[in-house]
Formats: sequence, C-alpha cells, structure tokens
Amino acid sequence: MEKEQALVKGNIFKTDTKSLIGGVIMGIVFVIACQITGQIDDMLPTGKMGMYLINGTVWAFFTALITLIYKQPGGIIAAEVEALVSVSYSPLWVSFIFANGIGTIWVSIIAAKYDMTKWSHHILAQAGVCILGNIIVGIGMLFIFGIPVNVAIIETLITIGVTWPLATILTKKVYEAVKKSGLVK
Amino acid sequence: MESMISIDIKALVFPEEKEAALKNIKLDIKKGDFIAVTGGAASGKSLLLHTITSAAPKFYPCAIDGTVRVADRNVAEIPLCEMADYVGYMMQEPQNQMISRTVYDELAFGVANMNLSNGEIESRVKKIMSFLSIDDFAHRYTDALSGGQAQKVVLGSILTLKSPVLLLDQPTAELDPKTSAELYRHLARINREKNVTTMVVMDKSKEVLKYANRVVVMENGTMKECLTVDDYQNKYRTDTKIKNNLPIRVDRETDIVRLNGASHLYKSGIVGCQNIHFTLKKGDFTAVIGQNGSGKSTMLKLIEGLLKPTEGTVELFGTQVTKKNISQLRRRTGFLFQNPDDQIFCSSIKEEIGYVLKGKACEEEEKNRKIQDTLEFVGLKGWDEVHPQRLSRGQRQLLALGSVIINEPELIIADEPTSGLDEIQSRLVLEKLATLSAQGKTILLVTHDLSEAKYFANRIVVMNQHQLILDFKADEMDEYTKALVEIELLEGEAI
Amino acid sequence: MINVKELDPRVKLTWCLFLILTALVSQSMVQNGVLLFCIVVIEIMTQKSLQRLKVPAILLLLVGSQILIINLLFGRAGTLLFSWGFLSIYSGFISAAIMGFLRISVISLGAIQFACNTDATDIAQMLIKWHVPYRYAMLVPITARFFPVMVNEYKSICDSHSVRGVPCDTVMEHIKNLPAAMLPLIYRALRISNDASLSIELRGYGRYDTRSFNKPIEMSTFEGIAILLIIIAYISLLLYTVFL
Repeated sequence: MEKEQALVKGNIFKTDTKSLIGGVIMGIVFVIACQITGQIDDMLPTGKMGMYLINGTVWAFFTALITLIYKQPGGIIAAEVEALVSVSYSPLWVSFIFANGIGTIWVSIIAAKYDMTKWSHHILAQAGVCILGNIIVGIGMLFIFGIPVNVAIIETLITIGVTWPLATILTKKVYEAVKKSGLVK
Repeated sequence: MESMISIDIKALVFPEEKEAALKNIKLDIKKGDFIAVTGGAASGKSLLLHTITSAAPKFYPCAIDGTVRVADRNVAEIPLCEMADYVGYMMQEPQNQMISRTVYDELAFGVANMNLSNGEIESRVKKIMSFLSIDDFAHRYTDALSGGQAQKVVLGSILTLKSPVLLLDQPTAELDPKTSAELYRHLARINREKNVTTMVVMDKSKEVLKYANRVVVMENGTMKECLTVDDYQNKYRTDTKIKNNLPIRVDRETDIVRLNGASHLYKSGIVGCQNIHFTLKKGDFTAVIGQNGSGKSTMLKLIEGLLKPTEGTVELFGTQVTKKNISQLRRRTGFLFQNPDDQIFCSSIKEEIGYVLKGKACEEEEKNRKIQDTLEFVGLKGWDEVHPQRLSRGQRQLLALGSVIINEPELIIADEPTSGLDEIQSRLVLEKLATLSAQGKTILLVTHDLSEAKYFANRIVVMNQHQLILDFKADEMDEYTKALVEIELLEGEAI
Repeated sequence: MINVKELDPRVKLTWCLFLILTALVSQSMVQNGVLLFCIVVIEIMTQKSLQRLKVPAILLLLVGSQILIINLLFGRAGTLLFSWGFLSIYSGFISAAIMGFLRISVISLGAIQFACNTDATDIAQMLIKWHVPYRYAMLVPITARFFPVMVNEYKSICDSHSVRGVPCDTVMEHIKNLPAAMLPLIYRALRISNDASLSIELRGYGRYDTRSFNKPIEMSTFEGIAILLIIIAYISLLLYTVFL
C-alpha cells in the first residue's frame, strides 16, 4: 500500500526547481496566449455575446499541457499565474483562480492514472478541464457580470461543446511534439 | 601546484542513447589555471562543464561511469544547491539567467540565498559593482540592460559568491568585439588577482587565448588533447582566413534597397537610427557592422517594414514601402533572424522547410523536390523527420535559412545569423550565404565579426551612434583601421 | 500623506480583498459606487492622475457593453417594454447592466491598484511570513522578472512571422496562425526555464529554509489596527446585506 501511494505521489508531484520555474515561465506564456485569443474572440460575434470559444480552447489546452509537462505544483503555479495576471484584462479573474486550479488538479489525477499516450486519456483529461472549468466561469459570469441564469447555462454548454474536442486535439498534438523535441524529459 | 578540478570519466550516457556523450576523459586542472575549451559542434564542451557543476547527472539525468572532484570533493556527493561553494557557472544568454528585476537584487541573489546578513551582502555587492565598473546601474531593471551589461551583471552575481572556480560557456558569443574584450579582461583580472580557477568554452572570437594558459580540445565526446596556448596556436593555426572565393556580380543599374534620409524615433523617445542614406544594388553582398545598440537592427526593421520611418523614406525593389504594399514586397525578401528559435515551430524539419509552400499553387511533386533540394543545400538531407529542437543552434540557423530561401527571395537580410554560434557553425552559415550571393541573390548581412564582413562581403557599411558613418569596399578595410579603432570596433589592431 | 507603496503588503491585501468581497456580496448600486469612488480617490491621491487606470477602464467599458447587450437581449427583470418575435426587452436591463459594470470595475480596479502599489518581493516576504517556503514564495518576483522577457520573445516571434509573409489581417488568419506564434514561444519558454532554473540552483536556491531580503517587511501597530478596522467594516457590511 505504501509503495502504491508512493508511486501515485511520484506521478503527481515534481517539486524540483526546474518544474517550479518552468511552471512560472509557462504560466506567463499561458497569460500571453489568453490575452491574444481573448482579443481574437472579441472580434468574433460569439465573443461579443460573451462566449470566448478560442480563448476557452487555448485556456483548456495550456492548463493540461503545463500540468503534463511539469506536474504539480508546477501546473497549479502556472494556472494561478494566469489567473492572477488576468486581473489586468478580465474581470472574471476571481473565477479563473478556482477554474484553473480545479482544471490542473483534474489533469494531474488523470495523468497519474494513465500514461497519456491515447486519445481517450486526453479526452478524459479535457472533459474535466472543460466541464468543471467552464461551469465555474459560468457561475462567475452569473455573479460578477450579473447575466441571466438561462444565458449563463446556454453559454457554458456551448463553450464546453466547442472547447472540449478542440482542446483535446491541440493538447495531444502539442504534447507529443514537445516530447519529440527532447526539451522535456 | 594544488589540484582544483580532477575529471576521470570513462563514459557518460544519456537515457535512451546508445552512444556515450562523453568518454575517456582524464583531466587535472590546477588552482589558478585559466583553461580554454574548444572543439566542434556536439563535441561535448558544454557537457564537460556540466559534469563539473554536477548538473549532469543531477539536472540532466544521465549515467556517469567515473568521478569528478572539485577542491578534493567528489561532486556527486554535493547537492546542486551547495555547488556555489565550489563553482560559479555562467551561460551564453544572460537574459535567461537573471532572476531579479533590479541589478542590485540580481547581484545579491546568490548571497541572499546563503542567508548572510544584509551588511555582508551589501558590502560584497558594492565591491563587485566597483570591480566590474557597474556602480551606475545598481537600480536599473535587468530587462533594460544591453547584452554586455547583462553579461557583466550575471558574472557579478556569481563573483559575489566567492566560488574558487569559474566555469563559463561561450560567455561572449553574442557580444560585440569591444564588450567581449572588456569581459575577458575582467575574467583575466579575477583569475590573476583572486586566483580563481577559470574554465571557458571558447567562442569564435578566440579572445580567451590571450589570457588562457592551456587549451583543451574536445572531439566526439572525448578529450583529444590538452595543449599550451602556443602549441595550440601552432597546431591549429589557420594561416588563411576562411574566405568567400565565389564571384559577387553587382548590377550597378538596379537598386534593391534605398533609404532616403530614413530615421526612426521609438515611442519611448529613444533614437533608433538617424538620417540614413543607403543604397543596396542588385547582387551586392553588403555587411553592416557596428556595436550593440548602434542602430543596425532598427535599420533592418525599417527596410522590412517592421518599423515606419519617422523621417525620410524607404524603397524596396524601386517601390516606396507602404502599409499596403509591404506584404507583396516581403514575398521577394527573406529575413534570417539572430535567433532561429523565433521562427521554428513545426515538429519535423521537412514540415518546417516546406511551411511557406503550403497553399501555394504548385504540384505536390514539385513541392517535395524543392524541399529536398533545400534540405540538401543546408546540409540537412536525410533528417526530414527529426524534430528541429533536437538540432544544434547552428543547425537550427541553417534550417531557418532553408525555410527562408525555399521561397526564392531576391534579397536576403541576415541579422547577426552567426551570433551564438561557434567558428565551424558560423562558417557553414556564411558559406551558404556566399553560395546564394554567387547565384545572384542580394545579401545584407549584419554582423559583429569584422573578419566575417571583410572576407565574405564585397562592401561594408559602418553604423555608429544611430548613424551610417562609413561605406567602403570590403577589401579596403585595412585602410579604415584607424577609423574603426576610433569608434571602438577594433582594439588597435588589424584583422 | 501616507505613501501607499511603503505600506505593509498585508494591509494592502486586506483592503483589496475588502473591495472584491464587498463587490461580490453587495447588491447595492450605491455601495458599489462608493467603493469605486474610493479606488479613484486613492489613485488620485497616490498618483496625482488616473493615467494608470486608463487602459483597464477601456477594457472594462468593452466588457460593460457586452453585459449591456446580454441583459438587453436576455434580461427578464422588470416590466416588458417591447416585444417583437423572440425579442423581448424588459425595464430591468439598465439597472442590471449598471450593477454588473460597477461590480466588475471594483473587482478589477481594486486588484490592479493592489498589484501596481505592491512590490513583488514584498508579496514574497508576505507569503514567507505565512510560512510558505521561500522556494515557492520567490516565484512571485520571478514572475514579475520574466514577464517582460517573454513578452519580448513573443514580439520577436511575431516580427519573424510577419517578415516571413505569414498573413495576419483577418480574424481567420489570426486563428490559423496561432500555432505558428505559440509553438516557438512554448519552445523558448522551455529553454529559458531550463537555463533559469539551473542558474538559480547553482546560486544556492533552496539551500537553506530561509533567505535574506534587502528590505524586510515589518508591520506597524497602525497597520495592524487598519487591518482590524477593515475586517470589522466588512463583517458589518456583510451583516447589513444579509439581515437588512
């Protein structure tokens, strides 16, 4: 039992300096990516209605990718760097703190259980990130923006429906490319 | 004399690799030695330093058969965070190594980790600032420093730790000759006055040979020989500089680039370049030289339309550059950046080379032929499916060149393409540019290396303090030695 | 006059949390308006201008307009003013939109004011005081340090793509070119984090449980009282909102 726990722990945690600093620097890349995609969404009609589909996809992709590369607490560090820096461009930053945190923890759990080589592993990882994350952001929109409940529910469902498959494809492709690059072991 | 570093490595193997990355290395370095390490690409120079810092295997997991001792202690037994008591380590890119926002905090970073009192920290930092003559910018932000200043700050932050050994991996590869010479003078003083054992991976400037007492030559992961500087220079002397022997045919009638009194003032009020009058003829191979911050890059950005001239005009292929026509004009030019990593993003070399062909009206077979021809030209044939990030920096620069030339540009602008590369890799890149020049392409090369300018270009223009001050034929360079010394591009000696 | 930058970070954080939590709990337009007024007054007192809030204010107006559109189209509070097909407009949309706008303004500007007036190293020291190991606490100033570095890297990558003739005029082109812009940035980030972490580890990062700081933070009695008063004010407001 003790050995089994140790194995699981080994799979979830990576507390070396490389992972901590990696989490911070990738967190900054995460912020930059979210800012750019937020601007792209603002130009789209869906964005004008408050549905950030491109941004949501990139958000879910980075949440998973960084966690897969740096595990924990690197993943949570990157996620919270993004959430806290988003103060400067999104009033929803309060909900991002929780959404990002829960998303990265979910990915860690899935990555501890599976080797993340199959599509099903990534679909499962992104299921948690997109569903849990978007529900939290939806609640944030409800309380912070004060939008009607039915609108928040519909927007959340559409965002989940679009971001889940797209983020899954992106994460698997890029994770494999990063592994192939030899820059992460 | 007391032994400071003793290396005895039979083999160092990385996981999933069949070949040993280092093998059969036996080296003894005495206290106060100043060692230059040299060798070709992937010969194991940097890795040798990593075995001394113990980053290999602690940071880069690998299996080592053998031992490395520093100050009579086996480094395998010392945690990485305690290695500062033994060695100070400095890499090529200073911006990647600075961790604090201000210069003072950066200099104090290591000693603050040692938990010393604030009084002791302040005293050490002030001494180092004075030693490196950087007292003036204690409170400046680290991201606002020039390459040379940043490298001095990184060196300072290591010196405050008072480690008995200094290891430096191509510390001046991105610096201009003046700054590079200044940094080596500091290293020589540290070595002489503080008796700090110093080991430097040599970059193409070879400045280190002025101060080193021994040269370690690496080849294919092993130590080929360890020579005195005189023996090294006799044995590896290159009597004739590598030259561009290919013809450069200039069409004096056709202007490719024309700057008519172009200036650029950045929004922050900093002058980029001022009143530049410059014409590049078809077929020219022109080198632009100047110190860091002299305005070379601003000039290139004006030509490429990345910046708009605040005064004057820019013409490309006989047409004035405007927002409307810049995309079209750019299709006829190729730009090679200083850092190849700015443009490489695909997961295979073939994909990267062929990226610009995507969506072009061209048969698949024709596209493949072009890709294969380009791969052959840049020496990467057979590497089609390899991930670009697995290549050395020099190879990545060649890949970037390939992805630029596949578009068959008439004008190739190369912004310090050999910066950060060693001599062999630099030569490869330059030889490719020379071949393209012989094929009739117009080349505009920005470089710090005066010998590159002299031996590869047919014309040299000199930038100083944001202005173009000299314009002469490359083979007349010796006549301009005095002028180049005056603007501190040369240290009072001909190339 | 109090120099806000010199205040203990814990006081500033308590004030920031007071603003955010009050804005989230309060349903009163007046209360939110007063909080926004406080933020503006503090900004004028400390900066002598509102320049720093200009860009966030523009972004807030953009988000505010989205809130207005959503409430206009989908809001069902108040009386029906207009109906045509599936479109129905109710009288409550203006007050709901103003309330939403005030709330996001307080939440965003309060946090931005805290971030602008607090040194990253002070935040690290605050975390250390809360027994967060310094290896983790120091990640705050490290974030501040690498932010401009990575932004510059991104700009270089964009320049490189721009001169390579990668079209970036339409929204679709922006979306299509995202991988070309993001992947090199990811690779650069991986290389930089390798260099940075090796560099700091070889300078003794994490060697001891504590480290020295150039300007250690210390809370004064006045600052302690200020924190207490803010907490009391928040509890009072909470009770007022819940029970009245």
